[in-house]
Amino acid sequence: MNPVNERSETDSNLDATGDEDAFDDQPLIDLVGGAPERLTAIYRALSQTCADVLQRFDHATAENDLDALGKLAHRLKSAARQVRATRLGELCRRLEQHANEANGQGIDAEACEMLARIRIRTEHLHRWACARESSVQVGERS
Amino acid sequence: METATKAAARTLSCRRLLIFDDDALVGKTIEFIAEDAGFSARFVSDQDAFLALVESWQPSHIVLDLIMPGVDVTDLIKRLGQLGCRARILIMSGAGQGMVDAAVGFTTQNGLDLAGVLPKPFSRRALFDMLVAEHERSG
Repeated sequence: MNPVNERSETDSNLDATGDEDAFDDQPLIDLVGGAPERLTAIYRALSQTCADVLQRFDHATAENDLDALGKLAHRLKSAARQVRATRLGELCRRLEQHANEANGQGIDAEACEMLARIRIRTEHLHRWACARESSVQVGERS
Repeated sequence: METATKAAARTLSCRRLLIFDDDALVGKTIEFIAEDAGFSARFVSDQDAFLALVESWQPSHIVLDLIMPGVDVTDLIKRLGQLGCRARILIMSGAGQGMVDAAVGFTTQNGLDLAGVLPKPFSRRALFDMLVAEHERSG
């Protein structure tokens, strides 16, 4: 039995309104302004954050390190909230809380389940950030 | 009004802000806001690069994230104290108040100059105002 592919009733409820976040970059624009070179840098930084977190998730999973997963979730939560990715942010908050309450235990089925769902959304956010970066660059050239 | 404040900030002498955060999104965001507030800003996500810049670039201000995987911030603060770092320190954190209070105490105990605490998530307004106040403080 692979706990990654299972979902609890609570998690199903979290997805009741749809499986994917709709991202909104207005909070990022509010923070740094709308200059194309800044937006390019910010979208690139966001895609780097996603890629880096995904890679570190792999490492933490291989090490059975729930504490590391919690810290990565904390970091991703911040990025998710910057683009109003509320479901991803909420999943990260729950994984972080779960890790904080685990008292040094390894990765359990509940953490695996949350992680699987966070991964999907993070990959989605990564693709979105890359597309936005390309879009700004194309706009600059035209 | 931010525009007027920004213009005033630009006329002030250039200050150097070094940002150490493991998250490029946060680091670049702070870098841009700091530039608008009249600072010359640099962002690093690597501890060795950070310490090298503390010595070679001599920042007037440092933004330090409290929670970074693989970085012992307590050791880092101690190291900054040993280096005789004169920069004003801005502690940034989304951690609980207890952890922030401990870091604030540890920072001052190590002889560092604490500028303040920036809670995460931060707004442009909060950071901008804090940096402009730092400008005005130093004249």
